[in-house]
Amino acid sequence: MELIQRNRRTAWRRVEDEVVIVSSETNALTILNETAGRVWELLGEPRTYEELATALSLEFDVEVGQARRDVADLVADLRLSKLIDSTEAK
Amino acid sequence: MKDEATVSSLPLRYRLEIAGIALDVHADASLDLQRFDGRAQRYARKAAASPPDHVLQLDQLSEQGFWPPNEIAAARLVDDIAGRVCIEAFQCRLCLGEPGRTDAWIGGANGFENVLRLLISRLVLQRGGAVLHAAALRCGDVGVVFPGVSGAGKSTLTLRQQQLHQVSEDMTAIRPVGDGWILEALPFLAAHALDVGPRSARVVGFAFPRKAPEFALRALAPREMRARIGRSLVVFASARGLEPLVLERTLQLSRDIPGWELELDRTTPFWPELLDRMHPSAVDARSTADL
Repeated sequence: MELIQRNRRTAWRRVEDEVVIVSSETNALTILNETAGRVWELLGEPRTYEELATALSLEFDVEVGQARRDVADLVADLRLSKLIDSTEAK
Repeated sequence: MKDEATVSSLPLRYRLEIAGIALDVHADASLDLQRFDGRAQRYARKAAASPPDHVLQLDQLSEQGFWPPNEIAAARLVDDIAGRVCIEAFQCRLCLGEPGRTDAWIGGANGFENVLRLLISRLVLQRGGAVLHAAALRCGDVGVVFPGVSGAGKSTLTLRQQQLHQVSEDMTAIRPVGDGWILEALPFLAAHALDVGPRSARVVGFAFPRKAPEFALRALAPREMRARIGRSLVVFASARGLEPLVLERTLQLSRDIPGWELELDRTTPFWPELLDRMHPSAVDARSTADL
């Protein structure tokens, strides 16, 4: 099972309802909205897609199916930006 | 062919400690001493003559001031190069942070200046300031920073109002002084710093230029500022290990200094209105007629 976590070459902070991320991996600054920012906060430790989707569903009152799609899209974006790493759960 | 006396071979392996940062780097090519003035050449020769794995303590240089004089800056960076950079006909490979890892590849005729820029941007960040990809104009002691990517209109700013003093055209450092910030040119970057009198001024705002059919000035919200400031900081390429500082400085600048989007048309004098909006009490600087 795939576990997702933050790339260690990042620094971030929540500012108002956004999360601001600096990456020296890509030399870029990324700003996430409230929902995406919450996912980012959860990625402080390795998480599965399902864990993230469940958390989003509960906290933002959206259907699990929609939450899964949102998480998949966001993780794809974060991966493209090299802000996250993946490992396989043992 | 270059005169052999002007070319110095650098040690193959070097360890350098600067401002508390220890770095192992390979230097495997020649340094063209004609690029430096006399004093810097002496430093370069000294660096070249140092044995491999020699440890240089350069903290004493940094103690001479935040902005060292030209030759000291050059000398320091020559030492930096000996310790931190591989040079191959000015194709410069930066090796910052972790030994053995390449953080950036910089080439071209301005490779040397690019190396200086990145190294200094790192040091400036560690000392509470920031280097921005930005032009800077001043009038009296009041200055405005104009961050922007190439083509945004930075270089044409002074063509519009030549009475203003251009502090820098492409790279600007800012640092906190008292309860405000001052902007400064990077004195050793000949291509980017202009010799036009005082090279510093009190920062009253950021203006992000954009070429447009009509003049307009729009105040930027903090969240817009964060993204723009973040994109303008010149440190990312050497930011390994400094990510928290980059983040902190981005937030600090976007919070402390007001920012404006400046839509530049071809004719409207932008400076008076800019100053009116940014710093209404700067009466002396609002008019450029007596400059």
